[in-house]
Amino acid sequence: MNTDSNPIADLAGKLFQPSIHPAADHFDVNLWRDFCATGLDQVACTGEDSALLDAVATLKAAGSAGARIPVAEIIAARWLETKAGWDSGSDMVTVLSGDDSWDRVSWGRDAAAVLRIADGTLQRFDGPFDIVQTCANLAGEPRDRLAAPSAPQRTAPVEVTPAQLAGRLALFKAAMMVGAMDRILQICVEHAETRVQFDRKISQFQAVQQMLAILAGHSAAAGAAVQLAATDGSLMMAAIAKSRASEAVAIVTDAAHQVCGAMGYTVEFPLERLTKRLWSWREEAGNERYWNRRIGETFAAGDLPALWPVISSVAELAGLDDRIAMGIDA
Amino acid sequence: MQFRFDLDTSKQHPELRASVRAFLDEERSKGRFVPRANCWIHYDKDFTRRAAEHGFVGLTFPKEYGGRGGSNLERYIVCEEMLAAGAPVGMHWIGDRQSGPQILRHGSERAKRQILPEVAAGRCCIGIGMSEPGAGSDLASVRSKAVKVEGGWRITGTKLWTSHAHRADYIIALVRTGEPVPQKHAGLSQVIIDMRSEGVKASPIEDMTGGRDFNEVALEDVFVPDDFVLGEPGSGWKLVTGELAYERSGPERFMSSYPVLEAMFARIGGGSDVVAKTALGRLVTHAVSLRTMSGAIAGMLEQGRSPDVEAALVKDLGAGFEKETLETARQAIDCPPDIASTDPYSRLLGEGLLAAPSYTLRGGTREILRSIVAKQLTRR
Repeated sequence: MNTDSNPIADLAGKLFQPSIHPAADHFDVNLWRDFCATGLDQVACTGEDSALLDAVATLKAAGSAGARIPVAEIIAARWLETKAGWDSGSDMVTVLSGDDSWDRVSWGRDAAAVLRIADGTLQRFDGPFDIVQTCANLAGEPRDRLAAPSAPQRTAPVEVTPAQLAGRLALFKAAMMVGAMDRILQICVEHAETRVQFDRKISQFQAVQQMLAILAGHSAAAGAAVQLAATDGSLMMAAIAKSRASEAVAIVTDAAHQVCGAMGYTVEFPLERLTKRLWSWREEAGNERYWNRRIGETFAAGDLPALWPVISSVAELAGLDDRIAMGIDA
Repeated sequence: MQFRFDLDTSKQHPELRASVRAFLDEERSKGRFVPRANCWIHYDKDFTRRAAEHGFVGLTFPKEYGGRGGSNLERYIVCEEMLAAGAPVGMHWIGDRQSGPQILRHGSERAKRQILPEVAAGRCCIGIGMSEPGAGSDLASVRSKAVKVEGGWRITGTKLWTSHAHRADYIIALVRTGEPVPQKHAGLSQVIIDMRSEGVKASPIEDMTGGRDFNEVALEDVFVPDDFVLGEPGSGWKLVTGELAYERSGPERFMSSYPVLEAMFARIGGGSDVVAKTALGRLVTHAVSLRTMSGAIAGMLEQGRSPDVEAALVKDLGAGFEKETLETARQAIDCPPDIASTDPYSRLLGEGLLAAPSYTLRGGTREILRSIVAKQLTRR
């Protein structure tokens, strides 16, 4: 067992501390300022081989702390603007996700600008935005429907396709989910080691041990998929990672709330703000059914002679990117 | 606190992989085997001999003992290709995976020279003599007793669930050589028993798949020479724990149902059933995640680490996947499972379902594996 031990992970770990503020929709201005000051918002823009791995390490830290700033969207936004040749400055910029609608825009109400990809161009719409309908996800994070502005304030050609953006957002969200799961496991182990019933720590009961192991197992599987997707960078691996992470949520949250009992059901206990995030994030950037369908349709299109040569090769999996992209762009 | 499974994708060994695939293609095209679910239980001495002739058995053994001095990763590649193809690797599987490496690590020079080249040549089958009628999950409570005599030991007891013992050349038995003090893990030893010895009797046990690979092995005053004891007498518990990490870490721990997944793919590919394709996509995400974790463990073994807990975690997840593959397949495709069917999908599904209860029992029950993981999590 080991943790990420690199400078980016250390920096992110120090920056993202668990929030004690109960209101998830309160944009954390101080954290935002510190986040930009570290330069971690640009972590995916360096052009280095390690950029995606560094982004994932940052996002895991943000996810485990339940950070009240849209870390995934910001890292994606900076990446897009760098690709378009813009200096993105330190504005709070969010992105429209896969279905290209102004519905459920992540932190749109606090955004200085929104980015959109259309027809080979990156479009930047400057705020503030009119809120058609105030909306939140289960974790209370803002997901308002905004009034679609008439025209962007800035456009530029960009080589990122909507499918590629969807893949990046999926991977980034999956990374945050893995961070949340890691922290949930820690909380559950600490609780089981502290809570005494029937004259012993509840961690000594086999039933509790089994649940901790199940939680650890599915978290680890999601983590492994995310790590491979960050190493490889393909859309197919991002799809696999997001699906696996989304599917793990039900099992992980069920086990966690069982271990933490009635105390874990209250807002005073640190569990619920993480499980609510998992229930929200598993749906965003494509849930497991969304990605499983596209993965299945890509493989079963009819021209692959067998699964194994593809499953057994990271390169072959990446070779299906164009095809799975068709299932997203459509 | 978290478990990490970082796969090093830089070491691919494409030529080795291609050579295994070429061998398997030739075997299949000549009708020498058909894919089977749970294939690593299937004993085929001719297949094992041919695989050995191609260098695919005992690959990790040093050259002086008949192997190629290959890495764990290279062995992993050979194994996953064999399992993906559902090949009948049963005769050499245990010797190659764990018993051979155990003898290599802890055996005397004579034991190594006598046994390892035979394993690598595909001429030797080794069984696991751990469980007993009274000792399954509670392995330390074994009662097979070893009494010290001139030049060796005399073993009396009964071993159970020993796969292929009726055809094996050797078994490695966990026996009690000393007193269980201060606790019952103490006083145990692993010994190599030559199955041709006087006093050994293997009786096959029929299991619910109709197979008769399990055995009860009765041992009565069986002589084991001193140099067929592994390590020092009394070190058995430590040795057996190390052996179990090898047993739990291979690709077969999530690939027993793999041929069913491949057959499911063949049935629905090119069709229009979105639900079936979505179910297939889900299984792919699990297969890829598990392969990543399993490969990462092979890498950890390669680095000289002892990923006992990681191996238990992956085995638990993998066995769950093996069972889920079967249930997913039967819900995606209308086809009654029939082990006698000429339809390979129907046959594979039937074989898999009948063997499925064993997936979460063998090599450590699911519940024991989870206890191992939990103990690590709560360790201070």
